[in-house]
Formats: sequence, C-alpha cells, structure tokens
Amino acid sequence: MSYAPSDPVLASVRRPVEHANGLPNAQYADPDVFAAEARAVLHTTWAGLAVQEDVAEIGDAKPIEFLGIPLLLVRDKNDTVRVFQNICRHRGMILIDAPRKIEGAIRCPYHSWCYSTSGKLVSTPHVGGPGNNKHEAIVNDDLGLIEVRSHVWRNVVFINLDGKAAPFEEENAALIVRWHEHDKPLHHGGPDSRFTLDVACNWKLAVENYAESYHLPWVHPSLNSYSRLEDHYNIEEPGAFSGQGTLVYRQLTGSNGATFPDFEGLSSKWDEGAEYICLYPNVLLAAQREHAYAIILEPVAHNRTVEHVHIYYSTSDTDDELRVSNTAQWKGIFEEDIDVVEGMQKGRSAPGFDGGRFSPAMDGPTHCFHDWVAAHLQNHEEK
Amino acid sequence: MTSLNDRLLNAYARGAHAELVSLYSEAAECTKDIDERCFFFTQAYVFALEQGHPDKEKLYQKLAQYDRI
Ligand code: FES
Ligand SMILES: [Fe+2]
Repeated sequence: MSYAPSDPVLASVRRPVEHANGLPNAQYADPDVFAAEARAVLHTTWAGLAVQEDVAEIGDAKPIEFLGIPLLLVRDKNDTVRVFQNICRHRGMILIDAPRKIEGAIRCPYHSWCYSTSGKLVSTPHVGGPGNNKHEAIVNDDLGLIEVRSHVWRNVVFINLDGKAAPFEEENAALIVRWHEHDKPLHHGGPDSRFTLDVACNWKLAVENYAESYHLPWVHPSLNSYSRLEDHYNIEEPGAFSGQGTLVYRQLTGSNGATFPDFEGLSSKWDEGAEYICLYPNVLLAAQREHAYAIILEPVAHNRTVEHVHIYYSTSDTDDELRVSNTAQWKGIFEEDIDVVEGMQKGRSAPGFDGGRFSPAMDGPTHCFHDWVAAHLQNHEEK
Repeated sequence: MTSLNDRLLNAYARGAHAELVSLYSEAAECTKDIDERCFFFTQAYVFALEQGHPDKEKLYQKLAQYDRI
C-alpha cells in the first residue's frame, strides 16, 4: 500500500500540530504496510544498522539481517568499516552465518569463490573446469561483493540502502552543528555497556516515546524527582530530528563520590544541560557531559522492534562499578517505557483510533517525526 | 602412516583449514598429471587465501605456471 501525495490521511498528519492527527493504524498494525513503509522511509534515508565496535578489529565480520536483507558488516584490512550484501555473486549463497574473524579472504561455503575484506572477488576455483581457475566469461572486477553505502557518525554505522540519499553530512548537517562540541572520540564501555531490549511494538512508537518529555513524570517517577517537566524543552528540526533537552542534568555519582570524567572542552551550557534526540529514522542519541549513548532500533516486524543500546564514555578507562551501575540505571529507565510502547501498539488494532491528537505544547517533537514519515510516504512512488 | 586421504578427511572434520593447505600441496606433488596437480594446487590455494597462509603466493605461482589462474 502506498499513498497518493494528495491522500487526505497524510494531509491530516501534516497539518500544524494543533490540528493534526497521528499516523493511521495501518502504519503500525499491517505487515504489508510495514514493508511498503520500509521501502519509503528506511531504504531511502540513512538508517542506523550497528556500531563500529561490532567489528572492533581488522578482519572482524558480522552478519546482520536488516529488514529481511542479509548484510555483512566488515572491518577491512585498511581498518575501514564497510557494509556488503552478505551473498556470493556466484549462486547467491549466504557468505557468513555467524560473527567471526576473517584471517585472509571471505570464502563462500558453497563452491569457494573468495572475496577480499574490501569486497573484491579474488578467486574462482575450478570455474573453467577442474584445476582451471579462470574463464573468459567470468570477469573478477565485475563480480565483487555488492557494497551498501555506509557512513559512521558517533560510532554508529548508518546505511543508505537505495544509494540515493544526499551525503550523510549534508542530510544531518543541523545535528552535526548542534552537537559540534560533542564531536569527541567516544569510547564504548565494553560488554557491560551494551544490551538489547526486544519489544512488541512498531519501531516508530519507540521513536515517538523517546522524542517527548510529556510522559516523564508518569512513567519515570524516579527521574522526575530531580528532572521536573518544566526543566525540559522541546527540540524540533523539521525533516531531520526531534527530541528533548534538560536543564538539570545530574551526573551519576558513586558511593565514594566518584564520577565519570567529562568530555573535554564543553561549554558551561553542558554542565547541567543534556539532550536526547531521535535522529530519523531509527537512531536515538544522548549527549551529556560525561557519557553518551546510542540506541539503534532494529525494525524486525510491524509489531516487533529490537533496541540495541550502547553506552559511551570520554575515556576507555572508567570505573568498573560506576559503569555497571550506569548501565543498570539506563536499562531500568528504558524498561519502564516498554509497557507504554507495547500498549500503544495494541491500541493500533482498535478501528476507531484515528491516529490520535497531539498536545500542541508537549507533543511537537512527536508530530515533527510523524510529519517527516508522512512526507516520505507522500514522496515515494512504489515501482 | 595414515593415508593422505584419511589425513585430509580428518583435517576437514576438525575444521583445520590451515592443515588443508599443506595436505593438498602434498597431494599435488604426488601426481604427474597436470590437471590433477592443478586441481590439488587450487584446493590448497583457496584454503591458503582463506587463512591468509604464507604459502598463498607460492601456490599462486604454481597455478600461474600452468596458466590456470
Ligand atoms: S555460491 Fe558461492 S561459490 Fe557458488
Ligand atoms: Fe521514557
């Protein structure tokens, strides 16, 4: 299913927030619409796929299925992170079925065609008959792995599946400028600083919930003791990102008074300021004085999303105990959101729901995201 | 001594691909038939490529010598 640009359902989403409705039920509850929406919204933009620490060392390779597409994340011999379609150019066999280190070349398990970590076809054994490894019809230079356009920013590996989006830095210039002070090396906290949440909701509900601070006092009462609603502000960059900021950020402090070291060179605005932004389509980011995180939303099905959470610090040398309690604190907060996003997903099966209305004061960031999705649905022509 | 064939099967069973490089090279040296030699050199070469094995250049040269690569 796709919408004509003049479709009244999308027009109502794109009205000013005061009068707009949210996206219709089908965008959440219908598997066919999920697939069509993915082509319009997730293939045409810069979607988050992984973090560069998923392939920490040269030669590391990790298969990742994204929207049903078998992909391969590789750190090549030149230390460049690349994304390929995880298939052999011979008969389309899956090349790598589990994360591992490529010592030399990627060898297809079927007839052993071999590829370099930068995707070049380097060997076609017996292709011209037993013991003869060449044939004039098979030109190695034409048969490298199919590379997917990718870009790394804040350690997140973004991909543009259709290859037609504007360059990442251009598409996301506004956020790059907004957070330029945070353009510092990010150090992944390691195995205790990554976790996943498997949630029974459409990926967009996770974005919407992250974008707004309206729910904080109700869903996260513990946060609210120090972070009151009036200490938050909305962030809206139409066509690019939205979220919320706080004016009362408090560092995590250990029992012995220890804190994480700050990122260097931040202005005083960040002493008690922090920002939480949904970078469209599917990456949720935080910028804070002494740690950051990225959540990559993996859209598995219309009603299932896996959230991949990674926490980063200003140095690779952080206090173990403090780091573990920081992970536990964030995990607790993100878990508090599961009931509401799963509840909204269930709600999308009620035929009377018209996409709902927005609080003009509080829901601007959510509406900003809906408007962006609706614009992509309007502009996309199904082939 | 176990036959070369047995040693090959054993290396496969253990996933010992680096050993396959030398075992297939050995197999190639055991025959005078050029097609057969090139078949075994190819097997050795592919596992050398996969493993980043130091013999890969040498094996490439063997195959190039017969214009098989
Ligand atoms: S399918 Fe990969 S070598 Fe044949
Ligand atoms: Fe929340």
